[in-house]
Amino acid sequence: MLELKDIERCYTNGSSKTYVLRYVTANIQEGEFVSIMGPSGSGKSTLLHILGMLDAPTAGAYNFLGEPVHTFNERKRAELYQQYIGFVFQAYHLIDDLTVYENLEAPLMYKKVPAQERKSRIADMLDRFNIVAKKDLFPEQLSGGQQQLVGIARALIGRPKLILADEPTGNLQSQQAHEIMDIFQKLNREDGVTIIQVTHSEENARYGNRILNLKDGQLQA
Amino acid sequence: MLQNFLRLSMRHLWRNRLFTLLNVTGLAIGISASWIMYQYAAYEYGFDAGNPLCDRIHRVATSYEMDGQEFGNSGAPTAMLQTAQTVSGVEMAVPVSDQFVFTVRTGNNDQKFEKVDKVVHTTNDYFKLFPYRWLAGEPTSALSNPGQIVLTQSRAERYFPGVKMADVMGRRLIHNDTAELVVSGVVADLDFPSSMVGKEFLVKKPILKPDWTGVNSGNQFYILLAEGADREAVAAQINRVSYDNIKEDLEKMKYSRTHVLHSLREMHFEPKFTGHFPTTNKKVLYVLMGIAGFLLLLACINYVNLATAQIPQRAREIGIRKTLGSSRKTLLTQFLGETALVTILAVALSAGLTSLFFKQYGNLVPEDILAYVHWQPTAVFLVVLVAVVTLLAGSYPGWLITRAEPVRILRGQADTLTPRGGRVNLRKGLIVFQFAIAQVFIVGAIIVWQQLHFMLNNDLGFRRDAVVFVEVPWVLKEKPEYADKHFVLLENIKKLPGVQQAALGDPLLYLSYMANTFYSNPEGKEKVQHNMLIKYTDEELLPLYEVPLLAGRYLEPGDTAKEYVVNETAVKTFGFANPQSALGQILSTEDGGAFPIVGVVADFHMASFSEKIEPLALVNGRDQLSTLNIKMASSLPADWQPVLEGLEKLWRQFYPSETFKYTFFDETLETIYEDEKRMAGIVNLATGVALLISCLGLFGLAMFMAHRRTKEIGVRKVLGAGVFQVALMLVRDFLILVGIAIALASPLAYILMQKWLTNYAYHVPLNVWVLVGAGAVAVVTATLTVGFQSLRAALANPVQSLRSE
Repeated sequence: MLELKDIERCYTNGSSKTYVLRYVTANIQEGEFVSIMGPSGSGKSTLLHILGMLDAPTAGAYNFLGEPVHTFNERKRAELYQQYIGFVFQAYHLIDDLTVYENLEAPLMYKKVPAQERKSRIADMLDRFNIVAKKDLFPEQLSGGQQQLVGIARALIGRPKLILADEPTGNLQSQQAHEIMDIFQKLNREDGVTIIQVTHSEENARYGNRILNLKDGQLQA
Repeated sequence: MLQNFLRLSMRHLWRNRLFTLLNVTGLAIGISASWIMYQYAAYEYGFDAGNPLCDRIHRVATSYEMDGQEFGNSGAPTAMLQTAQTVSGVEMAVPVSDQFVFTVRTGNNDQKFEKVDKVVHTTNDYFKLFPYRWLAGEPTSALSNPGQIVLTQSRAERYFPGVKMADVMGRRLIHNDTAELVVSGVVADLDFPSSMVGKEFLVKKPILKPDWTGVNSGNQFYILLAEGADREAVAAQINRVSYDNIKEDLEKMKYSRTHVLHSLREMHFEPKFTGHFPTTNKKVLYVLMGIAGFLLLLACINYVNLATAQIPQRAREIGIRKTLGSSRKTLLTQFLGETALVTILAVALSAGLTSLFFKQYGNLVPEDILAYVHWQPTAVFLVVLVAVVTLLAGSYPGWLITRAEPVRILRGQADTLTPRGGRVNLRKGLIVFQFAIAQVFIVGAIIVWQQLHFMLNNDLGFRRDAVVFVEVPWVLKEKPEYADKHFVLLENIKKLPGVQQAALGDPLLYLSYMANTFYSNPEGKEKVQHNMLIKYTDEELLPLYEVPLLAGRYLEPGDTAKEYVVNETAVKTFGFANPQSALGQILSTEDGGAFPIVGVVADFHMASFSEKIEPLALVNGRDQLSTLNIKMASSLPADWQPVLEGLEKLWRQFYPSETFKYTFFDETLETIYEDEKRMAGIVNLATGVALLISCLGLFGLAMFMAHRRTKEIGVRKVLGAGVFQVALMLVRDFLILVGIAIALASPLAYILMQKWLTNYAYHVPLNVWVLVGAGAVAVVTATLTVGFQSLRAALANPVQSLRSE
């Protein structure tokens, strides 16, 4: 599904180059649950951003579903976000101005899902995550765990094939963290959704079936 | 979808109420300026536009050139009618003459109306040219016999209130107690602004002795050009006939005269050719449009500044939306939609502001401007305005938004979103631009005010304090039994307690005057010929005004001309070496009069300060004296009331049928400078508005800056910076921009105002201190605007700002 070959990401600062990622080669198959681990500053998030096409490698090749990513234009990328990819962030990143319901609705609007179907999909999602009672609240009125539930629900509502999660439980207490990870595992096992998560925690990584270890921008064997 | 968009946008605007308020207010002010200007321009350009023949109907006016100066007269010689009718290319020629009626009495109940204007003498053809709607009567025959009168509906309602239009037909009116008239038709008032101001129409008497010499703006001629006729060819034919008839006169008097054709729509924009109808100077109109345009631009700049400053706060949302699959187009549309919403809110607010303007500042615009408002074009204008403002204000911030890179934002580097590129960026440029415009406005306001103050208060060359004018009713003066009454009145006035002096004669500052050509033919020298103004006075007028005598003496008592007192300019014009040597010189006129100069007075201003002082002769003329000039003994206005009461009492004894009216000299001055006062009012208002808009924007920006630098301020305070130092740091950044604006705008303002001042033959000097003063106003305003925010930011407790991160 995803092929990375000799990915390199560096920042030029004056005459010196700082490599955030270097010589990264990896293949991720459909249906995998991959955890990217490593110490702070090892390039985990950058790798995830590159995988999510939010950032571009300075060298190397990245194929998404067999197509080279660097040929994608803005519109193609927007289309992929609508059809294939769901993001989950450590800081939840819900839209403050929108209610829970509207946050869930936003990706469907971009996907041009008809109103009737939007309604039923959102209802399903609210049900599934047990947040029906919160649907008219704004993010600031929810606890961190609840916000992250909404964040995941929003990522899932477009029925993506791939979920990219950047420390999804980083801001949560362990009880909530377990719940979230259980959801991910269930999604991976029952619905065949490919999941790539960045995490610090060995425990979280154990939910997945493969671990990529990064150190100083390079993958460790 | 639309509903969804509206709900979300409104919510966003409500959450950022303060900025919404700043944006809506700023835009509303700018939009109001444009709206008012639109109304104004629609009115001015709407003159006679409702007449289907407006491009074929032309007024034959007269243009003179003499001594290199041009004069315009909206009238033409009486012989024009016949000639115009015979010229090829002219389909119809119609005479239109003005009359001022002193009394109108209605036939039956004997109601009396005084001083009625807009009475016009013309022919039946008039109604073929001008599209009046007939409510009663027959257009083809309503003006066929002398004694017929056609009224407009407004006049019919005034004279015969409550009477049906059909029943007004046949009613009697008596003009000036002599002419009996019968109403032969009633027409609706024109429903568009028009140069044809006539409200009552009488039959024009046939001209018995058509004449080619005299031209009077009260006698106008309108022609209808045949379709496709060449108007230059028509004008050439008319001018040929006219020239042939006055050739000798032209050569002898050394001036040239041509007739010019102005179409009905053009004549409104020919202020040189005045008469009893409104005209407009196109240049002034353009200046006003420019002012309105700049105010709108300032408002848009405000929006751009505030919106771009807000982007870092919105960046997170934009980034998220992008990861959810939103395209650039969607984001841009959303932002422009939001801008359009703000603009529409602003239009709603400016509907209120505009009507407030017309209520509060109605005197700055023509009074009947709101009488002809058409809602359809106004609505179209507003829709276009919303579109233009939306694009002007929303495009740049919208473009910035679509450029947002989600990865930076999600990492918390939102600030990098604002335009990069070092110290110079667009937002700073826009602030500089705004304050540059504001600076030009402030300089303009100061200079206009200075000039107005100068004109109202500067020495006119004579003492004018505590002088009151009273006009002798000249309709009565013509009657034998009243011929000498005003002289007796004058003697009585002189005896009134509280009156220091009284004289009869043309007030020194008086716009209508007589002129004639004078010769000087000293022995052994060449004959000199010049045009000179004439004022008729009695012997006491010059002493009353304390006009300084340079040589000789004032006029002696006399009934008719027998000697001249001239001004210094006349001395120079006729080439006399000095005032002393002018004494005794003989000046003669074409009609045979030849009298010596007995005195020379210092130059004084006879007209507004925009006019150069012309050569002038003061001369006796008992028959011409019709204004009483009364000088109060006391200079305290409080003492004048009993004198005025005494005057009125005397007046009632002498002219019981006439109302007593008086004017103070200062009031006359004010009427002369009405245009300038209007301009000063507009410029002041525009300056205030420009400053206000700029400050609204600055206020918002300062708030953002203070917010963005909260952490920096906290750190600085922890490091030991004082409140004042921190506040100064924030204020300084803005003041540098304002300083650059002042430096850039001052030369421009200087050049512009210098150009404006050349309109006035006598004007205030353009002092560099004005520029400095205007700059100080801008700096102080900006400091006050920014200072509050800065001080608040500087006073914040650093513990809080540092913890929040």
